[in-house]
Amino acid sequence: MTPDLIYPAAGAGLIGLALWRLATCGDTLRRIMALNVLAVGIAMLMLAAGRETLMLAAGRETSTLAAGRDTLTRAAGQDTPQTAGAGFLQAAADPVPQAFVLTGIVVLVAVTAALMALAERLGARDGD
Amino acid sequence: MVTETSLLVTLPFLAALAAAAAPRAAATLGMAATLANAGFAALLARALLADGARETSLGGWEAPLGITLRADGLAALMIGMTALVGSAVALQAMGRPAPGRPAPAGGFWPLWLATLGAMNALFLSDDLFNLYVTFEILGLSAVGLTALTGSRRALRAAFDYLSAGLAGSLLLLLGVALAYAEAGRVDLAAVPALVETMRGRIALALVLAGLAVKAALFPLHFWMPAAHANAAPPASALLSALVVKTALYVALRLSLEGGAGIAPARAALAVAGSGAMLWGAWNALRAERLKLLVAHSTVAQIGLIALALGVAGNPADSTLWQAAALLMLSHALAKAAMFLAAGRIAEELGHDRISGLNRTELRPGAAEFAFAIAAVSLIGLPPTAGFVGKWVLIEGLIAREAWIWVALVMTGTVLSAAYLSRVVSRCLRGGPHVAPGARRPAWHMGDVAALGLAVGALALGLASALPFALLETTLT
Repeated sequence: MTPDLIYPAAGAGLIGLALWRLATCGDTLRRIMALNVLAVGIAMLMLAAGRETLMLAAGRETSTLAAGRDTLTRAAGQDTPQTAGAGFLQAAADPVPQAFVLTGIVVLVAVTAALMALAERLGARDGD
Repeated sequence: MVTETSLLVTLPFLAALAAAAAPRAAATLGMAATLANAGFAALLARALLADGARETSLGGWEAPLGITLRADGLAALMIGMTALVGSAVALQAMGRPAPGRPAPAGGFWPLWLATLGAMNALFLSDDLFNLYVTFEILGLSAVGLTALTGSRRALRAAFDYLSAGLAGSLLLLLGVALAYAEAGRVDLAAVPALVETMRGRIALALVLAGLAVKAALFPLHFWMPAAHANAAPPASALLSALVVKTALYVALRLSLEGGAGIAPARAALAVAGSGAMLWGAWNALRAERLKLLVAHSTVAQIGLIALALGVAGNPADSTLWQAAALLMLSHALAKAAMFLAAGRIAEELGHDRISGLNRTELRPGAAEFAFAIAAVSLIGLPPTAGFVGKWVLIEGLIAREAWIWVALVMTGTVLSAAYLSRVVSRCLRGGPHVAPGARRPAWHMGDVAALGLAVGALALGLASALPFALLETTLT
C-alpha cells in the first residue's frame, strides 16, 4: 500500500460510510456527525488529488503552478524560470487543493453551528 | 474598479450587515438596497445589450489565482429576475400585517439581503469553486428564511433543508476536487476539457448530482415541499421562485460551456425531469393545504425545466436552451405571485385548507385574482411568459420529431391545469356560494405585490423579445 492509494481509498471509504448513515439515520445529532464525516472524506480526496496534480506537474504543469512559479521567479529577480520553477515544484505541495480544503472547513464549521442551533431548538420544542 | 457587476455583489452584503446592526432601520435599509439592486440590474442589462459580455477581476487579480466575475446575457437575465421578484417580495414584507396577525419577524431583512447577494454572486461566478462558496452562503441564508417563523414544523423543515443542502454542496465539492485533479483548474472554461476524459465526466456528474439535490429535482426533492410550505409567505416565495433556480442556472451554464457533450447526464436530467413532472403533479392533486399544493407544483415545474435542459442538446446548434431559461423566468414570476397570493388568502381565511376555499361569507379578492393569473402562466396559456417558454420548447421538440418528449410535456401541462383548477375553480364560484352580504377582503400591500408579479408574468409573454435579446448575447 502506497500513500497514493491509502488517501483516496480512505477518503472514499469515509464518504461511503457517511452517505449510508445519512440515508438510514433520522436522529439529528447523528446526521450532523455523518455530514462532518462526509466532509472529512472529501477533504482527504482533495488532498490526495493535490498530490497527484503535483506529480503530474512534472509533465503537464497546472496553470496555477505556472503562475506561482512565475511570481517566485520575479520575486527572486531571476531570468531563468526553469531552475527556480524546479525548486518550487520540489519544495511545495500544490497549494490550491489545500486552499479548497481550508475554505471547506470554514464553511463546514459555520453550517455545523447552524445545524446544531436548529437541532437544539427542535430538542427544546420536543421537551415542552 | 467599481462597476455594476461588483456593486451587485457587494451592495447586498453590506446592506445585510447594516440591517443586522440596526434592526430598527432594517426595513428602510432593506427596501432601499433592494431597489438599488434592481437599478444596477437594469443598468447591467442595458450595458450588455449595447456592448456584449464583460468580465471583472476582483481586486485586479486575474484567474486562475483571483476571482473573476463574468456578466453575460444569461447572468443578466437571472439577476434581473431576482431583482424583480425580490422587489415585489420586499414590498410585501414592508406592508403592515393584517389586524390580529403577528408582526413579521425582525430577521427577515438581513437574511433576504444576504440571499440576494449570494444569488447575484452565484450568477456572476466564473469558476466551480466560487460557485460552491456562493451556494453555501445562499444555503445558510435560505435556511434562516425557512426557520423564520420559529414553528416546530418550520424548524424541522429547516433542519432537513440544511442537511440536504450540505450533502448536495459536498457532492459538488467532491466534483470540483476531481475536476481540479483532472484539469488543474476550476474555471468554467475547463468544462470542454473535462468532457473529453472519463474522470472529468465523473467529476461533472458529481457536480450535477449535487445540483440536483439543491434544485429539489425528483427523486431528490424530499426536503423541499415541507421547507417551502412551512416558511412565512415572503420566504416561501423567495425560496420557491428564486433559490431553487440557482442550481438549474448552474446546470444550464455547464451545458452552455460545453457540458452538453455528456449524453448520459443529459438523458438522466430529462428522465428525472419527467418523473418530477408526474410525481409533483400527483402530490399536488392530493394535497390538502394550499401552500403544500403550490410547493408540489414547484417540484413539477422544476421537472419541466430539467426536461428542457436535458433535451436541449448542444447549444451551438439548437435554441432549446433558451426555452429552459425562459421557463425559469416565467416560473419565478408566477410562483412568487402564487405564494404571496396563497399567503394572503390564508391570512384572510385564517386557514389554508383547499376544501375550505369556497366560503360563503367572504368574496374572492385581489389575492385570488393574482393566483388565477399566475396559474394561467404556470399552465402555459397564451399570452403569458410560460406559454412562450413552452412554445419554444415544443416547437424545437417537434422539429426534431421527439414525440415522446412532446407527449410528456403535454401530459405535464394537462396535469398542471388539473391541480391548479382545484384552487381556481373554487375561487371562481359565485351565486349561491356567496352570501348577499358577503364582505370583500381589504386591500393589502401583499395583494399589490402578488398582482404585480402575476401581471408581470402575463406581460412578459407579450414582451418576450427582451429576454431573448439578452439570451442572444450569451453565446457570442
